[in-house]
Amino acid sequence: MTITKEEIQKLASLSRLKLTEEEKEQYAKDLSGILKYVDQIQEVTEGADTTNSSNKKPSEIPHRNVMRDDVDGQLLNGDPKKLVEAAPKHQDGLVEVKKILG
Amino acid sequence: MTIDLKTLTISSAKEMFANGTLKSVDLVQAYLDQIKAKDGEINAFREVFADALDQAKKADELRAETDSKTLESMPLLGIPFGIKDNILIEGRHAGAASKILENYIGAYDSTVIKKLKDAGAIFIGRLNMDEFAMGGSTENSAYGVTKNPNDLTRVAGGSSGGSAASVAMDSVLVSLGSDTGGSIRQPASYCGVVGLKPTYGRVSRHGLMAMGSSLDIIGPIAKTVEEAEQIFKVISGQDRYDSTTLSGDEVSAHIANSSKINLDKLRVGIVPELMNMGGINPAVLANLNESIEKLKKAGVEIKEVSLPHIKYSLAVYYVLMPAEVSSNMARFDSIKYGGKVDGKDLLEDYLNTRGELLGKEVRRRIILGTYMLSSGYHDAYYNKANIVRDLISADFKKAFEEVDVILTPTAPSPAFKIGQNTSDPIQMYLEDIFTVTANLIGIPAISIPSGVVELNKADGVGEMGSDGKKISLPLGVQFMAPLCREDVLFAIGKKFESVIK
Repeated sequence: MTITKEEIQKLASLSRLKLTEEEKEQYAKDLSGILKYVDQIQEVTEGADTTNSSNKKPSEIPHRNVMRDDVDGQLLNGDPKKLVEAAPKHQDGLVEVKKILG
Repeated sequence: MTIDLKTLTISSAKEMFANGTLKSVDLVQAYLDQIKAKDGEINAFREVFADALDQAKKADELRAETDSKTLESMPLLGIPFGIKDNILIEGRHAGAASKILENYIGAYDSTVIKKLKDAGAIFIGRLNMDEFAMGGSTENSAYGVTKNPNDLTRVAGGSSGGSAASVAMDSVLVSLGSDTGGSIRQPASYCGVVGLKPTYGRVSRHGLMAMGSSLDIIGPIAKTVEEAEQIFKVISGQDRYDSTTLSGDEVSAHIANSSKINLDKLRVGIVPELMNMGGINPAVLANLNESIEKLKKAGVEIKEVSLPHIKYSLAVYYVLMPAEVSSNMARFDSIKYGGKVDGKDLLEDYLNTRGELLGKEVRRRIILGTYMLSSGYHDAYYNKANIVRDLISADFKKAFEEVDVILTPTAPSPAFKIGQNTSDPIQMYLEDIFTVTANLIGIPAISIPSGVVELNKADGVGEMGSDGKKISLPLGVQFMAPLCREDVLFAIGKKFESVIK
């Protein structure tokens, strides 16, 4: 599988990364090499068909539901004020963002 | 007073604390002196905490005024730790060695830190790593490589390179690292110390910066197996802030599944498929064979087992890990926390911030993961990798009917030269070949020093040191046990330590 510079640009836009032309070229080369290596998993023909990924468990450790009562304040560790203050731009306890609607 | 830092352990330090021959402040001062003398060259530390001595003084005071019964509930009182730079401590900088988190300050204690604090531990500093734990050499740190204390022209390994080097250069007693595909075990092996990757879910990930959420785990690095065990006991346990942590019942159920294991008569499995696949340094193979012979001589049963799908582990890992990385790294949006490079609109904020403040390897993995998860390739890569992941898991289940623990080298080579693998990502990734499997299937694994390789030009692994002296590089072996059987690793690990001496 060979990846082109144009494909890298598309992936970079999807993942919100600005790349230089040089980087695009480098990543195209790197990705082609890595994909060639990981393509060996295509040799494997056994195993359960799990095209429906909701049937999939990610490891030997079985899935189970983790439930808790729906009450306030159970899941926050730390001071909400400090969490907001970690934002690069914040004002009066609110996180500031750029306008997204015209 | 001189303290023999080379041989000091948690147990011997505690004994000296108790009989009054050692104080925490003196111990921390000794480590600060070591850092001053050595870290300028080695670069294991991102930051040495200014209040380290104050913490030690408080520990000494607490010990003086507390009765011995209460002290038992603080098994690490006054024990100096180094902490990997991706684990949050409230009020302190934590940056994952990335520019994007240069000014970030932890807003809360991660669960492991909370547990260490409750046990009385003190923190000397935060330790260098590959940016966001992505790498195997700390060469991806935005703040320079951590050099190997055994040879300054070589890497300390990674991603927890600072955690391993700081212990190896006696500048902390013990440290915490994190392991997604070998990031505790491989640097431990390169630096000649012990590194434990616990069972997935036995140690809380709350407050650990996520890399691959189905793979990540926090674990200790120390000079001895006993210390790794002591730290594991303190940091493990179910946590309401990490819903993937295992409950006591789940741990018991896993242990019941492997109930036939007799800790006094462990059967050790070796895997010919892995040893014969090529690409392994001859010194590593020879060392493994020596280790096997020594275990046999000590009366340990060695048995060959077959793991037919293990050859696909690294390929599976390099599908699943970047997929999880690309999802996890989406949180760096220049809005919630971390650095920001301003643009003309929100989209440009994203592009600039992530393009400029995330390093080359991090961006490479984000792009790779985005590809793996994109429509049209999702089935061929992500789903296929999960199918093979299950096959590998089934192989191990079967093997663990025959043996109690599986032995491999930790890494296919001793510590490599700085810069040697930076131009070829695949070559770098191959260093993880023995370690990724434990992360894929969740099982616990430990790396233990297994001797040294003396370098000279003839053996092809390196050359003489710059000063013309012979260089000895440490090697390590890895033991892997069934789910939740860290006790098996500690038992075989202590046995191995005694036969390797």
